[in-house]
Order: sequence, then C-alpha cells, then structure tokens
Amino acid sequence: MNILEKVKVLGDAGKWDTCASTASNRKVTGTDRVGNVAAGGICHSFTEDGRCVSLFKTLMTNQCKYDCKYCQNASDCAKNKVMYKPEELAKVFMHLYTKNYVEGLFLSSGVCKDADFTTEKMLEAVSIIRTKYKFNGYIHFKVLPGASRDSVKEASKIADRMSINLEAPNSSRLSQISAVKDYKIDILRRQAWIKHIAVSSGQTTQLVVGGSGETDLEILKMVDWEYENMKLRRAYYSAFVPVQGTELEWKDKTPFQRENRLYGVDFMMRQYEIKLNEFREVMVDGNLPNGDPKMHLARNYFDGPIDLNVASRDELLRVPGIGPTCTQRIVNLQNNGKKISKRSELKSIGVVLKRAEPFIKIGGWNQKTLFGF
Amino acid sequence: MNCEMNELFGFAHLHKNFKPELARLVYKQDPDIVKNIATSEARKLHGMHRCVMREVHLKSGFIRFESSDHGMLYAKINLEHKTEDMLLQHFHNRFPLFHIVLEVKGVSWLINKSGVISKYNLSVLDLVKQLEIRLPKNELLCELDLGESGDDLWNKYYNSQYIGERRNLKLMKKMMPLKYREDGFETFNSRRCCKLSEFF
Repeated sequence: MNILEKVKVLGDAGKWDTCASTASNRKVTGTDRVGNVAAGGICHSFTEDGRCVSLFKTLMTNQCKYDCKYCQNASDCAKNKVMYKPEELAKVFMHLYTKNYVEGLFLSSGVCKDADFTTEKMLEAVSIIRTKYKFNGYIHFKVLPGASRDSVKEASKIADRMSINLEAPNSSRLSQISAVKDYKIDILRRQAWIKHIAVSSGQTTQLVVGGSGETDLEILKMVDWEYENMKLRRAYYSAFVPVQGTELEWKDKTPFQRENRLYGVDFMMRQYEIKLNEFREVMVDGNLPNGDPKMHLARNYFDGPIDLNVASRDELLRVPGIGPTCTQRIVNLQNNGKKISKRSELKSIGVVLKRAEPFIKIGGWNQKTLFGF
Repeated sequence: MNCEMNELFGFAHLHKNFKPELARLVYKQDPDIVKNIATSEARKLHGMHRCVMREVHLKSGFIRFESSDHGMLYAKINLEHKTEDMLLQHFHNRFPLFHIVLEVKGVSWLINKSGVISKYNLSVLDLVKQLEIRLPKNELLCELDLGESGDDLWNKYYNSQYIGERRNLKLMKKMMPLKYREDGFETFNSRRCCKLSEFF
C-alpha cells in the first residue's frame, strides 16, 4: 500500500479520538529546532462536522487484538490492516507541519501482537521526529491498554500530553463492550502511572457515551473521581455512532445533545467548581434533562431574581449568560463601589442578556415573564 | 493598571478602523469602570483589540506555506489589519531554521533566521527566485519534499477526518470564516453538499 493510502486508512481509523487541544505551557528555547508550542492552542482547519483539525491524528496501525464491540479496528472486523514504518510516519508528519497544515502529532494505535511491541514502534517514530527532524512542537501520545511501565515512562520523555481511554464509566459497563480489557489493570493502573510521571500538558481521557447503556450520573461520577484522583486535565465525551462492520452496528446512535450536555456539566465542574451533587438534584433517573444544564441548575437554585450589585461570586456564576470573565468584572465593580444601573452596561461587560434577564434585577427591576404578569 | 489596560486594548491600534481619539477618550474615563469594559467606548476599543488578536490567531493556523529547497517558507495572504509583523514573528519563533516570506497586497515581507524583518515591493515568487540564487540548499527541507504525493497528503488526511453522522456545516462556517481562508483552501470539500439549500 502506498503512503497516500496509508494516510487515508490510518487517518480514518484514528478520527474517533476527539482530543484536539494543543495548548502547552512548555518553554521552547534555542534556534536549532523546528516547531514550538502555543499557550492558547491553534486550529488549522475544521471539517464539515465542525470539529477542529489541529493535529495529525493517526494510528500507527489499525491491527488490533482487542474486541471492542463499537470499534472499527477490532480484531474481528475485516478491514484493510496496515501499519506505518516509523520513518514513513515521521516524514509525512514533518511535511505537513512545515507547510503549516497541523499544529502537532496525535499518535494512537491498535494493539498489534502486544501493547509493548506496538508502543515500541510508536516510540521509534516519535524519536525520529524529535531527534532527526529536531521537532520541538506538540505531541499527544496515546498509551495502549496493557503497556508496560517502562514504555509509559519512555513515552513521557518525548510527549507533551498522554492519555488512555476509559471508554466506559466502570468495569461492569466496560465488560459489556469489551470482553478482553480489564478496567482496573489495563486502564486505571496505567492512568496512575501517568499521574506519577507527570507530563507537561497532563493527561486526558475519553468515554464513549451511550455505548454500554450507562447513565449520565455514572459517567460524571467517574469523571469527577478522575479529576480528583488522577489529576486529569480534562475528559472528552464521544457520542456513540454505530460503525458498519462492528458488532454494535445495529444499535441506535446517541443524540449529540447528550454529549453537549455532558461537556456543559464537565465545564461547570472544572471552571465554576460546582459540585456534582447539585446536578444530581436536576437529573431524572440518573440522566440530565433535555436543554441547557446551566438553565436547569439556575431554576433549581434561585428562588427569585437576584440583585447583581450585591450578588456573590457563587450566585453570579450560576446565572445563565454570565460566565467566569463577566462574573469577575461584576465582582470587581462591586468591590470598587460602582453600581450597575443600566442594561447597556451589562451588555458592555459581556453578559448575554437574553439568557440572564429572568434571573437578575437591574436597578431594582427585573424582566417579568408573561405568566408572572 | 497599565498592564491590565494593555491586556484589554494593547493591539487595538493595529485595527484598520482605529482612531486615536477613541483611545484618548477611553483612557480619560474612570479606570475602575474601563478595565471592566463597562462603557460602550471601552467595549468598542476592546472589540478592536480582539479583532486584531483574532486575525493573528486564525491566520497563524490557516496560512499554508510553500517551501523552497533553499530554506524558505513562503505564502501569499490577505490581511484586514496591520498584523504582518505579528505573524512573521509567530512563524519565526516556530521555524527559526528557515526564512519566512509573506506577500500581502503585492508587498513581500521577509523575516530572516536572525529575526530581522524587511519589506520588498516584489511579489513573493520574484523575491523567492532572487533569494534562491544567493541562499544555500537546506538539507531538511530537501528531505521533506515529497514531490507530487506531498500535495495530495493533506487532502487525503483532511477528508479522512470527516465523520458523516456529525455533519454540521453551520458550525464549520462559523469556526472558519471565508475571509480568513486562503485561495483554494479546503474548498474542494464543498462538493460534498447534498442539499440545494446548502448550496445557496
């Protein structure tokens, strides 16, 4: 198979991994190098599904000994099975990077023969990129389930970010979609190793939403535990989509709105420090209701409209249409004894009035609903 | 305080519609209010600053380089604001081993390996041709030249990343506004449109 075909087949096999972040605070110095990292991350393109293409996201090989029922690379799926030669992969990536098509490399793989054999090939490719081509930019290295501690340690020396996918929120759910993987040994133990090694951009993980019939609460509970105990930088959610030729091709796809709701709650847990218990109160049978979770949370939290000039930071953060930046600006004005008296001032600050108005009072007045009137 | 103001308005002067009177007006207003963007003037100036930053951020992702075996990366681009210097600096930090040339409205801007910026009233191709005579060959760029298959690599890869079930053209257009895309950039994908309404 020629190189163009390999790029197509292995790119297609790797597209389900969703981590597109390239932000890194690693300091890059010296002039004898190619590439650097950006603190804010840069997107180089977007596909027609609206997802950012910033990394050369590919698999080393799509051969895999595991039997994940949702995965197109699973052992029993009849597909073109190919593998990059390390030198080949390094050259393709560097070609794309110097033309400014991509911001970095995202290297994952199916597990061919055993995890260490495949990881060794991946490490060989990344070493060529780092040493021969003097690449100093961003590399996300996927740890394979079952990889040895030594290979994980070796990978940490050349990667900015490492990750291993949870796929499901607990072992019983994972056993429904994969009979071979051991949740605690193959995945959680590897996560603990990554935590101890500590890479510059931290570790992330990904879950398939709706693949094993799990509830939102099960997912969020696990992710909350991971943030606390595994120093997870962030979690990614991927709504289940049936792929032809897999064991779960008959199953309905998960609505993308569910994925969006999970991202919303995850963001509020990380950035607003809202505890999972608060979301439990608005859940129905362990699942988040349709619509914006912040709106549901606000309806449950507030008894009536609040006065912005005296509201606390915690209250402001819970108002839909007010994010952390606006909250900080309003708190700054309160601390300086400045009163907000007009809607235009709020608009200037950046508050989304359409969403916020039912929950706030401006100069003693609040927007009445037709029902209230 | 100055540091905070710089963060909010620092690059507004590079905006194509920037007027010094607006900046003077904002700097005369109550600093406690201005630094929280609570006046329409402050918001306007902050908007200009963000507009400039946005152009730099998007362009640094969307510019596509051609490479010369003589150690040059070059591209012809369109800019709305005066952001040439910032972009050249960005790419110099990224590729310190190469010379970077950008053509903007018929004028070529060059940043050399030492980080010195110069301006030439030449098209990018003419400038690159002239420089190729003087500059030695660069081994790395020669090795990375994949010939004809190199041009197809990105198209193959880009197309492989699309997930049909997640199709969301509206989001794509929002994230990648037409004005920031270079000529011929990823336009081949529009052939996939299957609804007449999307065509219009």
